[in-house]
Amino acid sequence: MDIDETNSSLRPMFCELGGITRADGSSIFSCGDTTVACAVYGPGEVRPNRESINKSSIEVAYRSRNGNSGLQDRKRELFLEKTCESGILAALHPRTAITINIQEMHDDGGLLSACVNSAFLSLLDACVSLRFLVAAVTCAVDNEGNLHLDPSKKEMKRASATLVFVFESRSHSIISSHTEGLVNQLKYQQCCAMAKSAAAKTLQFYRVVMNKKFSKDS
Amino acid sequence: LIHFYKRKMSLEFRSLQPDQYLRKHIEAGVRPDGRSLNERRPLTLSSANISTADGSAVVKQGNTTVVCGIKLELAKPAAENPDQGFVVPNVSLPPMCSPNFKPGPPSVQAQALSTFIRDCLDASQCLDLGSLCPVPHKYAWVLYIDLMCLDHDGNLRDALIAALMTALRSLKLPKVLYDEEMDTVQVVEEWSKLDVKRIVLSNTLAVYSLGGTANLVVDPTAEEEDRADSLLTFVTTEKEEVCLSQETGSSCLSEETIQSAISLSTKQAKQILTAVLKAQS
Repeated sequence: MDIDETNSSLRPMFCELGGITRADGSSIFSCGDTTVACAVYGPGEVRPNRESINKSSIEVAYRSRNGNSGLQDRKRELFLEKTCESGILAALHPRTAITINIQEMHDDGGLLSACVNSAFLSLLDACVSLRFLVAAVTCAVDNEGNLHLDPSKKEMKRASATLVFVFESRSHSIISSHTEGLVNQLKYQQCCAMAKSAAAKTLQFYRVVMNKKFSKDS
Repeated sequence: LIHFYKRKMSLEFRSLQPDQYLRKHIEAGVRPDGRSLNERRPLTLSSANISTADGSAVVKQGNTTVVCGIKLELAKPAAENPDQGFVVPNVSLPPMCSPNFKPGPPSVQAQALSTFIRDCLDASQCLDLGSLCPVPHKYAWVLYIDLMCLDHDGNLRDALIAALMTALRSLKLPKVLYDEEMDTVQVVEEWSKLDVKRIVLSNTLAVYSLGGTANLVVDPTAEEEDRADSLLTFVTTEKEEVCLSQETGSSCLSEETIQSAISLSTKQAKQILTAVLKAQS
């Protein structure tokens, strides 16, 4: 139950922007071995049933690696949709749709947070106007009560609870969260604090990626 | 006469500018139906109503009405868990509950709620699946849990979880006699109650960002839910542990706000718990 035993570092992150040339913006983002590809199209044409007169409609399509579509995929899509809606300035593009397509390439834990991060990086690459950037972080609590930041798939399987927090870049407050598993309030707070400091590192990584994109070498 | 004109004006305001109407109420610390921000709607629970189902419950939370029915079936257990029974939850939002739903395949909201129920059951570990397998590798109990909303007036999550817990507590399992030589099972009408290891209860709050501060509103109606900036749901146990939490929407919440939301949720959950325990006499 010692807090010193926490694994409190993020796995190395890597990102390539613009890999999918047909899309308006794209990213291939990996955190450790977890890899996610994301392509953003928009603002573009919208289906009449989803058309909104005062803002753009955000549509998320998620595909898992094995292609079988299930309820868990719908849950991820909804989570991503709500998170992206909060960050995108949708009112600038009424009667349009911004489509975010996510493809899971490899899941080694922390998939949901990788999806959120890659979606926002793709939105940056597509030059969609954003209110803020977000950094999503996953924490796991194991049976002994130790906290693990950015857990691998093995650690997530053994965990008694997994917590995903999404922080925004201006005031580092929480935009969305999703936690599963029994955790007492003290541990919840500790995970939140640990995730917050890791989010700052993720946002720094975004800067590095964007610097690379606009540097004279590329 | 003044009262008559005041009411007419307020109805016009409500239909022409619903957002402003709602926000002015919340700034003043009340809601259109007269409740304070922390007040829940009256909750009515009844259990074992459906005689053809093995476990059932009906929950009415204000106008929101949810029915839960559980049917038991014997089936071959899954290969990865040969000594465990399994659960198949399904939430349906039929067209009768709200004008937003049309006939056809399950809507996104229904699918999201089905996932929510499944996640709650997994995360809470409220059922001992090992006790639901009378003959490992051959026969296991399958619990088909059907939750149906009859009237959608907001805050389905709390009603669904309350109905689920009440129905699980009303569930009676028959005895299974297994003849090893003939490899047959016989179901005998000797009933035992399902062992529900813990009761978890959900509390949903709508968040309105007014003037920079986040106002938390407990148990939103459909009108309040549609106009909220975001929705927070906390599923908590009797021991005040958080079993599942979800925040969706577009408000920025500080950690202090989340902490106060969790404390509020655990307090409210105690109220719902007394109702759930009373329903099962």
